[in-house]
Amino acid sequence: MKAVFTMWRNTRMIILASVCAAIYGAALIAFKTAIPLIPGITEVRVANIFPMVFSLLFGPAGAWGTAFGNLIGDIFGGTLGPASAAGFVGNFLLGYLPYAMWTTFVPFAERSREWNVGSWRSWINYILISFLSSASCAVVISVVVDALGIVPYAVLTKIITLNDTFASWIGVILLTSVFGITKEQLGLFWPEVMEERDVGHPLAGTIGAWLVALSAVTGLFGGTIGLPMPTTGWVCSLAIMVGCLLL
Amino acid sequence: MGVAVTFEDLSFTYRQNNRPSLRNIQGQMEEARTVVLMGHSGAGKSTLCCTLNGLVPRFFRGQYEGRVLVKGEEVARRKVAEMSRIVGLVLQDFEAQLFSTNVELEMAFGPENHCLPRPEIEHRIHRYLSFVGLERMRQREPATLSGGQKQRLAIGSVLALEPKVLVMDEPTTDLDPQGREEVLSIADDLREEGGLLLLVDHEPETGLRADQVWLMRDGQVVAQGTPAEILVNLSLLKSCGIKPPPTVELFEEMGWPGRPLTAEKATSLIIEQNLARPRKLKAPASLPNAGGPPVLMAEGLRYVYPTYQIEALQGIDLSIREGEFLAILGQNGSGKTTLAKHFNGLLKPTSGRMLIHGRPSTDYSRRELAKRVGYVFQNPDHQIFARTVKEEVGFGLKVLGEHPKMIEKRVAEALEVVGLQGYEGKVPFTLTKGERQRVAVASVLAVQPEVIVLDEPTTGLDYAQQRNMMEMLRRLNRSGHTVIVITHSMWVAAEYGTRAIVLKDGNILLDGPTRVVFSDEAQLARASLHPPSLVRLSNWLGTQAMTVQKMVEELREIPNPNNRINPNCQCPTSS
Amino acid sequence: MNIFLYLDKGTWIHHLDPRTKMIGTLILFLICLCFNHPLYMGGISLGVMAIALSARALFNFWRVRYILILLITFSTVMWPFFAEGTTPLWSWGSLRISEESLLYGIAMGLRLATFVATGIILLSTTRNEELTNGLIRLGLPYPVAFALSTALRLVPTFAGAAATIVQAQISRGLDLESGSLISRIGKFIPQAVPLFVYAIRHTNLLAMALESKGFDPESPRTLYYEPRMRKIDYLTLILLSGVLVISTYMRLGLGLGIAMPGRM
Repeated sequence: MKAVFTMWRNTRMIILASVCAAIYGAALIAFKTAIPLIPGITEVRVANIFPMVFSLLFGPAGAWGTAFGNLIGDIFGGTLGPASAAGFVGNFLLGYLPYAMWTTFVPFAERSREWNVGSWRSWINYILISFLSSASCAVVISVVVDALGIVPYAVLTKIITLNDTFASWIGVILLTSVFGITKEQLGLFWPEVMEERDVGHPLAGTIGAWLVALSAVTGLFGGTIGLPMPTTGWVCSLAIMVGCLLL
Repeated sequence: MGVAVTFEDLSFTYRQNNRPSLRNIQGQMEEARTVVLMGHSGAGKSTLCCTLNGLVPRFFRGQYEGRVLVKGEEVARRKVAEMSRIVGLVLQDFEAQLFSTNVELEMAFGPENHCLPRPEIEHRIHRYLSFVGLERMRQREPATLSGGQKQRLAIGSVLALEPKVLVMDEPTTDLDPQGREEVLSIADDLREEGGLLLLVDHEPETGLRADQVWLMRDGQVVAQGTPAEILVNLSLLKSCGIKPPPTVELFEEMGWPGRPLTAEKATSLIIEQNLARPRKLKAPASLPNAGGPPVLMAEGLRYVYPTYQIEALQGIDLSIREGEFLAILGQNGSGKTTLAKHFNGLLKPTSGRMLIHGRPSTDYSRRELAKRVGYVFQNPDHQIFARTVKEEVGFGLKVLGEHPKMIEKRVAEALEVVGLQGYEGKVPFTLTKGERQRVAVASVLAVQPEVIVLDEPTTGLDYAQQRNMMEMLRRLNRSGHTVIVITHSMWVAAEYGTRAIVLKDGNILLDGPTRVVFSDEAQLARASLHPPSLVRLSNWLGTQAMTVQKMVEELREIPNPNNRINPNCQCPTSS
Repeated sequence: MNIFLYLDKGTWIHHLDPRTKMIGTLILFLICLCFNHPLYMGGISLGVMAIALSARALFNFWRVRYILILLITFSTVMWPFFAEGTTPLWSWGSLRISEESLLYGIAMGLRLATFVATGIILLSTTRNEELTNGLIRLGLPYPVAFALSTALRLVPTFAGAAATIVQAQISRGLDLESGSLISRIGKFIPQAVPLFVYAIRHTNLLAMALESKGFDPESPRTLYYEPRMRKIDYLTLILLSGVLVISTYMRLGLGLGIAMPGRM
């Protein structure tokens, strides 16, 4: 968690947060490739292939970048409202959880922060974490949006989770293509950009990761097994936040 | 006069490299001078610039030896933010230097960082915004400015910090000739301000503006001296990968006395010494392919950008024949790119027709168009996405549904044409800019289109790379491809184009054999274009040649005028 | 194309302090949350429309008309199935619609449209630099505000690059308009990778230029813009707060404007 705050001392990390936000915002505007997911209701936001990649490459800058990028999407799309605050937090999780869980989500966790295309661990980790971070994002956004009376919780959690997970999985092609150039040529892989002492250590990484994982899954499927919704959603959101603090 | 900058045996190696980027740099730069730094790409020019404000070694880490003193301060001991009070840095890429959402805030940004009081900031914004001529744009958003204006804003925002030393690292490379002129005239005005100006540039003409020229090669400074000393040393310039001034080259080849750096000096020398006799330019031969069938034909072509409601093309009639090497010239915003994008159907005419082999472009499918007309965009990074060169070059064939074996064969052929044999397995992102440019060309060539359109193929390349690129295009043209090049580089058009068209405000201003177009200096000036110095000299002499080599041949063919010239003849003088 | 919503009209709302506009927007959001009956909600919507009119922001409503219509319809159609009321109106198998849920759906559609309208008024009358300046003056640390403002500055540049990238790939034969779901997604990679690499190549240059201009995240700095809270700013905020207090009292104290009890 510490790096989320200390990164604001580092000019490269600040710029990375801006650049990530701008890529996300620009992609939301420019790539209107509509891929209908539930025809007539929602489509794949193709821009969502980026957050997972931002997170694993740029760490906390990716988290802030995704959050700001979504806000910018709202600003350009004209949909700035109270839900934007929830969108900010949810998208922050989308960019925060992947890198934070990468090395802590035992037993799947990788030892290094790097994406290793030849390691099955990296792949399993990627597939699971992209789902869990998408579900966490979905739960947090949906409880607020439901309470505001915008879209019902039960519908929105599923749409967001499906969309983000799916898009993140495609993002693995992007990650594989750009990991080398980002790290070796441009020297912008975040553990190498930030000072060692600024990165810090998680309070209780594995516990945090599992707390997030369980809360996200409960929040997503709780309604199906008869838990009261969206009340459970609120509890799960709280638990996800606590989990993040431990990471 | 005081010393502004001292280099003491400076060497530097970037952390990720093995080879040093700077080796044993020695030298001094005095106050109130303009120093121009030249060299091939990768010579270490930018690295040297970065040592002046501490980006090397503070921001770019590595092995640093020796010292740099600016105004008596040892740079490596200071933070970059502190050095910003003494040294200002302007970069080539104007997009990367602007942070704010309007012009006046961009100007205020540096002074705000220095914690200056508001009235002082206000004063500086006013002063330097008018210095760079953007006073009326105060509230504009930087994204809405032209390239030249953006770069002027970037310079202004650095000047607002009132640095004693101003470093400009290739400030004009990405600009059109007009933008370039705008920026260089600011550099001239700065001379009167009394600080040190260090300017990095490829063009020998820029060197003429300097008090001192430094030449770099492979991380070393190989020569320091006045322009008159450095720019006439042809072998030295060539060894540093710099385009030698063609007038100097001509005089040397001809064995004429004097080494003039400009066309004006050359003409007056020729007159003084009776070296050659100007004559009337013979009506040049018509286009070499005048009889060939037209490949592309525009008829009353108009185009209005829907989002801006600007008529970018105002009725173009043009016929391009098979085997031509066409150069399209004009300022930014004159409609060059808009026209070229009609050639492969990327844009559809608002009215009028664009015919490809006699059929309207709108009748073709995307795939058919891709097979007929290839388009290489200006920035290769706008298309490169694959993990290997082979995959990148084969992409077009793959989406066209070619057989894998066929793809492999064509990729190998295309790579051979662009001189990248054996690059199949490399990662395209890790190649140099020149190589990436070639990959982009190869990926279009692989589809074997009859026509190849290239947007600014030489921008950002150094002289040797530009030559390579253009020689390759000439080979392609000779092997039967029709080549269309959009360019700002007048010498490239002069030496390689068989035909040139000049666009102004969406209309064709001039169209004809390049030699004819380049002889009409008055019309070119209307499009704010100026022929290269050699062509101006050639116009005055009345020779056909547009390269030094041809000119030497032509001047030698005619009887030596040296002895026979009539001293009473009325020789036209250049104004 | 201008992708920003700001309209340079110079109305009294344009001249308000950005802090007033941001806090005012928040208060309006809260007011919208007070009622879930379409009649009361409709009254608030009309009030916001009046503000939009005097801010001369209607043009932007036209620009986002599709999103607006989609949001309203979606909400009105969706809610009756999810929110349960007591007075049955229509049923088919397990699907039931009650009078309360129908009214609630309409109210939510209106509320959503009003949210969007309020946001648009803010964006139509406030320049990007005023937004970031306001955020800083409301306590956002400067480096964070800087990141947001730089991102806003870069979006048009990157969007332009993205448009060129799309054209470059189309020129090579990439057909974006057809194909199955999977093949369309495959076609997205040749667009996303160059955009990413183009943007990331900028990062080091931006950071270099930033440090060269004396930026230091940990040093104090001055701000050139100094917005002042004037009488009209305080007046606006007091008026809006008054409406909020009255609305809250009507809902909680008097029990007015409720179509669906138990929901916000």
